[in-house]
This record gives sequence, structure tokens and C-alpha cells, in this order.
Amino acid sequence: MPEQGLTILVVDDDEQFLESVAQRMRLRGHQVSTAASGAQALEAARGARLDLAVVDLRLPDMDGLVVITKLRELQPEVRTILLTAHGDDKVKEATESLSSAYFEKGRMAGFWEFLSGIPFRRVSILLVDDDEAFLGALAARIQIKGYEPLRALTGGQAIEIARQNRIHVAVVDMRLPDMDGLVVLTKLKEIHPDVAGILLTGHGGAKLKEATEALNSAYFAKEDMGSFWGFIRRVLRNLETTMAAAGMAQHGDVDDARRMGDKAEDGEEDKK
Amino acid sequence: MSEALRLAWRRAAAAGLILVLTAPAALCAADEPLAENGGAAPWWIWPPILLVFCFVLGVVAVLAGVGGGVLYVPLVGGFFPFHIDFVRGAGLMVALAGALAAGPGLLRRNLASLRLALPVALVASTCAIAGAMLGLYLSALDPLIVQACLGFTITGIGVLLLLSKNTEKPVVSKQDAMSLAFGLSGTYFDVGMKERVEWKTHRTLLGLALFIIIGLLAGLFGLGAGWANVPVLNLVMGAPIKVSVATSKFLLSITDTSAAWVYLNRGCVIPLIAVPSIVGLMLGSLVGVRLLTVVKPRLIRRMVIVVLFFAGLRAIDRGLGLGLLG
Amino acid sequence: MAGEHDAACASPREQIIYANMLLLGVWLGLFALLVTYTVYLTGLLPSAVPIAEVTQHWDKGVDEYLAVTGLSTGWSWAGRLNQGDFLNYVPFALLGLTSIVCYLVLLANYVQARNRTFSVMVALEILVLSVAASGILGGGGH
Repeated sequence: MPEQGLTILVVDDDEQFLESVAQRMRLRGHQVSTAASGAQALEAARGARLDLAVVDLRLPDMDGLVVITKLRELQPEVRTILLTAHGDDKVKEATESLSSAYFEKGRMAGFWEFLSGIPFRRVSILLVDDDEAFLGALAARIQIKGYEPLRALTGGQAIEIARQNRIHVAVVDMRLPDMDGLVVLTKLKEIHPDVAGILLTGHGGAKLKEATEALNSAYFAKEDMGSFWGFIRRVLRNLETTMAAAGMAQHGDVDDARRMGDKAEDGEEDKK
Repeated sequence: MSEALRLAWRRAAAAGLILVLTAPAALCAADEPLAENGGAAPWWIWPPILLVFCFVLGVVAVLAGVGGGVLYVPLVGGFFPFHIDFVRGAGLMVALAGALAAGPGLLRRNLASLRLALPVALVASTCAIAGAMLGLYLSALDPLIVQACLGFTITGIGVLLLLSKNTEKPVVSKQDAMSLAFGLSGTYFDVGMKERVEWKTHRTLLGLALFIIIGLLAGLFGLGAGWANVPVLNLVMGAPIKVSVATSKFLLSITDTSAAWVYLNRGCVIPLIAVPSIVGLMLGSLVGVRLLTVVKPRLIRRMVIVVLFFAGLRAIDRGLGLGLLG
Repeated sequence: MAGEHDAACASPREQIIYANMLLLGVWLGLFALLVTYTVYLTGLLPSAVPIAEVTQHWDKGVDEYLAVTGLSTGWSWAGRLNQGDFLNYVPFALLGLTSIVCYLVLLANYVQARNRTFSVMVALEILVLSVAASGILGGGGH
């Protein structure tokens, strides 16, 4: 299943540490920005939607816990992790009361494990067409694959949606009431430079086929096949979950087994 | 495959399964059909027969909520011409493989608690060695002794499955000293209830003492011991049912390792029997999990309990030479 | 925002290591099982005991079976891996050793963390499993 790395902000005044952590996160496929102070962090959070913020406890201008609280005000959905140089039960308690995770810098192995436990964000798809029936049909096909695509009837709407949401794939009809499909795609790329665009040129029934095929070949197929090792890893992960479910069932917990089994089937594993 | 098609396929599979489930009873009525021509049949029919039989066992075990080993030993022992020594040897390998494969997923979700498993495993696996040695000694004296004891145990398991009432989250008001010393507590996230559950254990010493018996039984008969592990962890020691179930399964991977080695070193694991059994049960459990969404497990559980009673009584009958059930 | 990934709900570190090693061991073992069994059944390697003979004697108790087929007990198979039936013991042993290897790693972890209670417990378990695996206990019943 296609996945997208997380958007992560790392806040620390130790430049060397900051860079090494950011580098390692990037290697894992995340998009990372950095900030050296609390003020910088808050500014960054105003500019972009974040999935995760990793904050050092001691910052030159404010306390890490304060930064976390303020980040939450800006973006209630953001996950947060506090890092400290020195362990302290009081700080740990305070962090957990903010339902934020807590790790000591001396024990970064735990941090990396925790990070790999956070599921990658689902790919979000934007469909743009003035034919509502067509939008519905295409959305239904995409939903089967487990996605909830966003829909827009006009180019203006599409751009509005892209400003408020992170878009990874955009499927745009060439003829739209207010502007040309190509123009919409160009504008979308200005907002999200890494967006994958698909322009539809067909009519009627052929259009749906075109859209599905384009999505399949341009996006799903590529991600689904992945590398050989990616395949092996997916199979192993699936086996792991299914056998764990079987184990739960055999020892009498059918409900949990069923839930775990469903997850394995969707390939929507929550942990690595 | 479309959603509707998938569902239809599963329904068909489930219907077929219920048919197959009744087959053992029919076989039974036909009075040892397989055992009769054991020597005459060409060797190559055995691996596929075992594979299919164990595949069905694997599916049923998942749907009925019964350990694979619990079904394997009495049923394969009853319907196949193998000596009980080799049935137990293969049964242990089957239970071991299943438990090992289930372990990673359970540990990773923090459902199985390593801390809880470690002390319990030490007791149970030590006793499983003793149980395995005792079991092999008894069957060398007279296999009928083992048959009869197995029969009683299987019947007992049937009763236990029939009566078992677990407690979702037992109330543990005071953690005992041993539990504190070992740190037998933890937290897991309940996906269904969307809440964080904290747990701790009590009556640790009593629980460990009971695992002496469980370990012995596991080694004696080559059964997995989930049916006994779960109630002790849950009702005696007070671990939540989810933790008990998951830890119990993981626990088997250690208990059965020690027992399996005794059988393995004694020459009781015949690859020709053991391999298709392991593979069949494994594939069966994989499919069983998929079927969970469409099948009513309650019905299958009842049928399995009936089959277990029947297999147990038959083993008792044979072991004691009563001749009541043919 | 009490999520599934709360620090408190996360598995302890040693538990994850154990899980990873277990995962590797068990699927490697099962894969090997299929390979060696295929070799055995197809007769790519000669068997110490012909398969037809196995089916004739598997209704006998283990002592009699060993006597008739001339097989020996313990780890003797390890020296005769050029024979199809003995080759099957490799995955069996792999499955049986997986837990011991996991425990060894666990021991290193607990010793490093200076957790004396669990270090001792894990060391004892390794001892128990190793004794079982070594075969020095014999099977009794002669």
C-alpha cells in the first residue's frame, strides 16, 4: 500500500545533534525540518502542517514542555516527543500528562523504535472533475483500495482544498468549467511541489478507464510492487500479524483475533 | 478480488468446512478405516492425507478457540496408524511451530508480556522436560497407560472448554511481594475499547506452583497447554484476559521447546509425519483467521467440544480395554 | 490523545528485540522445513531409512522402531546430513534453538541493564533449554 513519510519538525539548539537526527529521519523517508529555538519552531508550525514534533527539553528561549503545549494549540493533531539529556521522573510525568512521549538522549534506540512504530501517513488523493457522477465512480474505485479521496468540482475548489490539505496525487480532468486542467495541475504543483499529477483527456466511459489505469500504473502499481526486500518484508509482516491472530483465537480470544486478522488482510499494519 | 466475491468465497469455504468437520465422526463410525491398511498403502499417500487433515485441524482450531496440539494428538492418534510416541513428537513440533510463529506479533503489540512469561516459562519448561521423560517412560512400559491418561486429560479439557469463564479485567487490589519483585505488571492499549489498560498480578506463588502441573502435562502428552495456561494466568494470577491469552501462546514457544527436544533426541519425531502436520496446521490457521469474519465460532466450538469428548472417551476406552466404543 | 503509540503502552525494548529475532528464526526454520522435506520426498538425497520402511514400522513404539530401522538417538543425525531423512532435522533443530538464541540476547540485555533477578532467571532458562537440547537426559524407558 502506498505510504508517505511523515512531516517532522525537530527542535534542538545542539546543531550537530539536530542535523544527525534529521539526516537519519530523512533516510527513513520522512520530510524533516529543523528549528534551533522555540520561537523558530512555532513559526515553522504556523507555516506547514506537521505530523510529528520532536522537542528538546532545554531550549535557549523557552522550556520544551511549553513549546509542546503551544504547538498543540496551533495543530491539535500533531504528535509530540520530548527529548532530554537528563532523565527526571517529574519531567517524565509532566510529559506524559501532556500525552506526549518521552525519551532520554542517552537511549536513542528506544526513540528510533518508537518512531518506526508510528504509521506512515496515508497517501491523499485529490480528484477534480465537474461531472459529479464520474467523481463518485472514480472515488468508489479508489475507496476499495482503502483511500478516502478528496473531491473538487472546479479548479478553484481544487486549489482551495490543496491549500488546506497535504495532497500527494491529483487526478484532474482537462476540461473544467473555470480553468484548464493543465493550469490547475501547475498551480497544485506550486502549492505542493512533490504532487504527482494525472491529466485526464478521454470522454465518457473511456475516461474512467483512463483514470483508473493511470492511477494504477503511475501510483499504486509502482508502490505495490516495491523492491524484492520490500515484498518479503510485507509478506513477513502479514504472516506475523495473521499468526498472532491465530494464536489469540486458539487460546480463546476470538474478538481480538478477528480484529487483528482484518488488519493483516488490509495490509494496514500499524507497527513495523 | 472484489469485496462481494471475497465474502461469497468465504461463505462457501465455511459451508464446506462444516461438512468436513463432521467427517471425523463418520470416519470414527467406520471403525479405524485408515489404520487397517496402514501397512499396505503406498507411502506417498501419507503426506498429502496428513497435510489435508491438518489443514482442516488448523482451520477448526482457530475457529473453535482450541490449541492446535489439543486437537492434533487425540485426533491424529485416533485416526492414523502411528504409534502414540510419534503422534506426541509431531504434536509437540506442531504446537512449537505455531507458538513460535505467533510470538513476534504478540510481543510487538505488548499483549504478550515477556516479564510475565519469563518466570512462568522457567517453571513450566523445567517440568515439561520431566513430563516428557515420564511420558516416554510410561509408553515404553505400556502405551495403554498413556492412552488412558490422555483420554482423561482430553475429556477434562472438553469439560474445561465447556465451563470456562474468564474475567475480562480481574481486580487485583494488592500486588504480592513476588509479583512486585519480578515487576509483573504492564500497560497495553485496548484497540476495541480505545483505552489504556494497566494491569498487575497477584497470587504469584500459587500460579507458579500450578504451572508445575501444566508443564508436566504438556510434556506428558505433547499437547499445547493453552487451555490450562489461560485460566491460571487470568483467574489465579489476575492478568487481563487479553494478556493471559497472548502470554499463554508465547509461553508455549518456550515450554514446548524443552519438551520437543526430549522427544526429538529420543527419535520420536518422524519427519514424514511431522512436516506435513506442521505445514498443514500452519496453513490452516492462516485460512482460519480469514474465515473468522464470516463463521459463527460458537457453533464450531460446540462441535469441537463434542469431538474432543468423543476422542477422549475413546482413548479411555482403549486404554482401559473396556471395548465399549469399539 | 491517548494513542496506540503512547510511550507507556509501547513494548519494553528487550521485548521488541526478542520479537524480531523470533520472527527471523521461525520463518527461516519453516522455509527450511519446506526445502528439506522436498529434498527428502523427491529422493534427491538417499534416505537412511527408505520411506516405505518408515510407514511399515511407525505403528511400533519408539524403542522397537529404532531397533528395527537401526536409527540412533540424540544428535547423531548432525553428522549424516547427506541423507535425506536426516536433513529434515536441520529445520527442527532451528525451530528448537530459536528460543535459546533469543534468550541469549535477552541475557546480554539484562546483564547490561544490571537487572540481577531477570539475568539469573534468563540464565537458568538457557541452562534448562540447553540441557533438553543436548540430549544428555536420554528419554528413559529402556
